[in-house]
Amino acid sequence: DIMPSLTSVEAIHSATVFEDCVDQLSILGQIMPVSYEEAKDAEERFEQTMKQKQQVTGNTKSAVERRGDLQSQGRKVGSELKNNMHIFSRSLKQSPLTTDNMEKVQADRAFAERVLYGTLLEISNSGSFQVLMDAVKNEKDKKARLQETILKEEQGRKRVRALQRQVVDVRREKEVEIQQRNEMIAHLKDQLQEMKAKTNMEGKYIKKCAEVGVAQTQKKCIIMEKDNRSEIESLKDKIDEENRVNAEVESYLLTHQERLQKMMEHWMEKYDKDVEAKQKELDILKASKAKDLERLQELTKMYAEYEQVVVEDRIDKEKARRKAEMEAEELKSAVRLQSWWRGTMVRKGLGPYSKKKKKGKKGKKSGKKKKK
Amino acid sequence: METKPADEGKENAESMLADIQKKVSDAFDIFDHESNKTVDVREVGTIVRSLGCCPSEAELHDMLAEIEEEEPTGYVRFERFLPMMTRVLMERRYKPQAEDILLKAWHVLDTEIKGHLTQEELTKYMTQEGEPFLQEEMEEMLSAAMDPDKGTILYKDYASIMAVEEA
Repeated sequence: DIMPSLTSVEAIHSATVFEDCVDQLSILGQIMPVSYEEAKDAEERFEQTMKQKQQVTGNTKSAVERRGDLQSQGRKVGSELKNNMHIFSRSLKQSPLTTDNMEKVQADRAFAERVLYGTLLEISNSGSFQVLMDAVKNEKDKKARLQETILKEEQGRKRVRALQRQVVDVRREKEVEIQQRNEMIAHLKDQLQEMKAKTNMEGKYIKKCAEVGVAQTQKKCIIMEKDNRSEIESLKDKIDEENRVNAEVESYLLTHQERLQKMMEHWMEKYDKDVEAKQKELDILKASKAKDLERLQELTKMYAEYEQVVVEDRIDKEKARRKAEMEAEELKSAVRLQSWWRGTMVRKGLGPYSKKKKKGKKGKKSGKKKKK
Repeated sequence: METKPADEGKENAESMLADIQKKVSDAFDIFDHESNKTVDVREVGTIVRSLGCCPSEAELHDMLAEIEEEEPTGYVRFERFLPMMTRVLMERRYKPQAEDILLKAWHVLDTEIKGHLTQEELTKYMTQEGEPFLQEEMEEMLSAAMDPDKGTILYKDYASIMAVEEA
């Protein structure tokens, strides 16, 4: 933030211009609240003043330009001031000289005068024009805020409109909804009515049903009770009978047992006697068995001897038989061979049947045989 | 030779009977020395054997008993001989034993199963057992059957030789 500063020469130039400007403005302030015509004059003069001011500004501008980049801020201030003035003048041209306008012009003039005076003082004192720049900046800020506000207002209005529209829509929707709900309510009321009637009927039915059930169960219980009672009676009868039967059976069995006891005693006695007798008998038999065994051994010995003899005899007989068979076979074979040989001798003319014996007959015989 | 007519005779029983009767008649005539239709009783065995039969002496004796006169004359008449002999031939009785049966007989005599018999054994069996051979018959058998070098009878060879000659 380098303080824009002017050379002393420039400062003097600028101070001059600013002084002139301040003077003119104060003059203008002095003449402002006067008559309409005077106001016209004042207007003309104001215009002139503005022109002068423009010139001054232009000078300032040219002076600043010379200062290069460092003076860019001062240039901007000047240009914007000029722009403002232009707008201001236009608005003045457009609108007639109303009191409002006049008041505003007056206020503005006072503001300009004050600022310019401050600047003048600064320039003359220190060669800088910070006051002017601050004022310009403030103004700019104010203007920006104003514009922002306007913008916001516009947006707000738009939003209000949209919301209004929305409200209308919502209302319509809600109305429709309400109608539906009403219908629903009516329907539900109907249903409720119906349900009430139904419930009523059902209640009656169930009550009757339950009553009937109770009656039925009661009847059943009574019947069952009767049955059970009769069963109990019959069972009692049976128990009595059983008791009687049991007593009789018991007495019978007792007598029977007694009898059996007696019999047992008898049998025991008899058993003892019998055992004794049998023992004696057994002893006798054992003795006889021993004797018999002895005899058996003797007999066995004898039998063995006899058997030996018999076997030998049999073998002898078998041998004899075989020999006889052999001999018979030999005899038969001999006879067979002898018969065969005799036949063979005759037919072959051997031995006793040779030609010697049958000289005469031989020719006859052989001749005849050969013919056959 | 003798069996041939019999075989042919099977085809025709009558012609066979005629053949047999002819044969018997022919054989008888050879020994009918006086041509009076009789032969010596002792010649009957020879006639029967010449007709291809091999009866034992006992069987021959039975045959003779059947055909002899009630009062033995020593001769047999043809009328009696013919029916008996015809029957025997028709029934094919006393046919020579087959080779295997003869071999069995030899085996019986060969008690030690040597496959042969000694001259002594054979002589003993043939002259002392059964229907004993005459001396002449015995000699003839030995001459035909015995192996002269070893003095034994290889009966198997002997029987087969004789059987072949039969055929």
